[in-house]
Amino acid sequence: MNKRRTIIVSVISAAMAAGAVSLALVVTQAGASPASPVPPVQAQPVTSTITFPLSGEVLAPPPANASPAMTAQAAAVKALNAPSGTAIPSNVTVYLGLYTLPIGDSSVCQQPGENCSADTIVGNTVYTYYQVLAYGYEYSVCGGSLADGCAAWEFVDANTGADLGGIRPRGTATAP
Amino acid sequence: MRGSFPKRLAAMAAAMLGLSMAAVGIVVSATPAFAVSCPNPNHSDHQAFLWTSNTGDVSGVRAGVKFLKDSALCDWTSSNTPWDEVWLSVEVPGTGTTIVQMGFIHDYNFMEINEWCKFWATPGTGAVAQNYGCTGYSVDDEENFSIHQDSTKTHYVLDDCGKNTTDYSNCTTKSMGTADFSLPAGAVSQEEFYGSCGEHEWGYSGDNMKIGSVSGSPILTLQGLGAAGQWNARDWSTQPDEQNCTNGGNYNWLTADSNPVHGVKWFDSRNTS
Repeated sequence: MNKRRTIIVSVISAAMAAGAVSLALVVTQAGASPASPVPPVQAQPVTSTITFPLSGEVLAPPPANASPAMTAQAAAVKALNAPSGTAIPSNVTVYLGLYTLPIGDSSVCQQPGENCSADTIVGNTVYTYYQVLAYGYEYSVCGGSLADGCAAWEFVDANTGADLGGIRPRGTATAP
Repeated sequence: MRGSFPKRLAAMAAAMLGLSMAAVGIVVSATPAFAVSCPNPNHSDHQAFLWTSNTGDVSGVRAGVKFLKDSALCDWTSSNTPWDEVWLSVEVPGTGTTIVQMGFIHDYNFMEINEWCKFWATPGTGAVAQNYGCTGYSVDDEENFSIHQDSTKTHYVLDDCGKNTTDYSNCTTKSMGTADFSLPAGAVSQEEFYGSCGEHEWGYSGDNMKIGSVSGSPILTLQGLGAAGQWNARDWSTQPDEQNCTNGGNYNWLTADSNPVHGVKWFDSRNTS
């Protein structure tokens, strides 16, 4: 556990150091259909941490030397199981950052019947994903501005194309 | 008889086009699987069952949920993005977001493609759904969800206990940070947003949308966790449909048995398969 924490602290330190470096990274998205007249959407690195207050999720600036194995286009196609060449719509903004999803207090993991073996524990917090280099695809689902609660996000591992999940705004969603 | 080369070429091209179109139809559909009419895009609706207790006996809810894909959403637009959900929850009725919730959602992803995902939500995320697991499911797969208080009865644990599993022994926790509610209820529901009356719900008369079952499909029945720690079938009440669509008109809902209930189910009378 101590070794793991040391590694995690090192990762945090590295990330913080990287954050101090001017970010000039631009990830160009390739692979759009040649027939498409729409220019490919470019992923932009997160320059200041985006926090999703309702869930505590975070998309933080990537390291300055981040070099994702996949383009935003390729990652999206793989994550969504979409046909090759499916273009990212122009109304989607793509970010590259370090994605973190906290899910609760680690004390629960010690209780009978609970299993956190697939999660990452840092301090007293359990994370489903912890500082995963990811593309964040932001788009509106209700016509209003993104700041008006219309923003949906999808997060995709930038190295593997694994779908990490997403956020969908919704109306009242409870039974009476 | 073999045709001429141009004819064979044309036939091959047609066959390849057909295969390609079929593949596209399976993998991705920018529009619903069949046409729906959505004259009132702002309509929403839900069909719900509640397990209530005045003595704080609602500590958790769990069930196998059948996965179906025969719902059809209204067309995607940038101003109204429709979605359907089927879910189970522990919640304080009427509060809107005092809820811990898991289930399936049918919506559009950012490439404007129909997708079917699992989701969870908590009071913090009550205004948003956390989608995950959007690929890898086949019709009639069963996903087992369990929402329950932790052993200290201070927090809710939201567990995804796997696809086509037969018990709750190997679960992945999606959330464990929500403090328990005062006098909550259990709820199971199907909901539709943005064009609900036109949207076709999940299931048809011959294959219903199910949460739990008495017939062994889903294998795991609908159960409630009491304060004393027992998972049992509970008494569930059908809630009035107070929104825009009509039970018995566009869709039908029914419990699978009399109380105590082992499963609930719905179907849309317009669906044929």
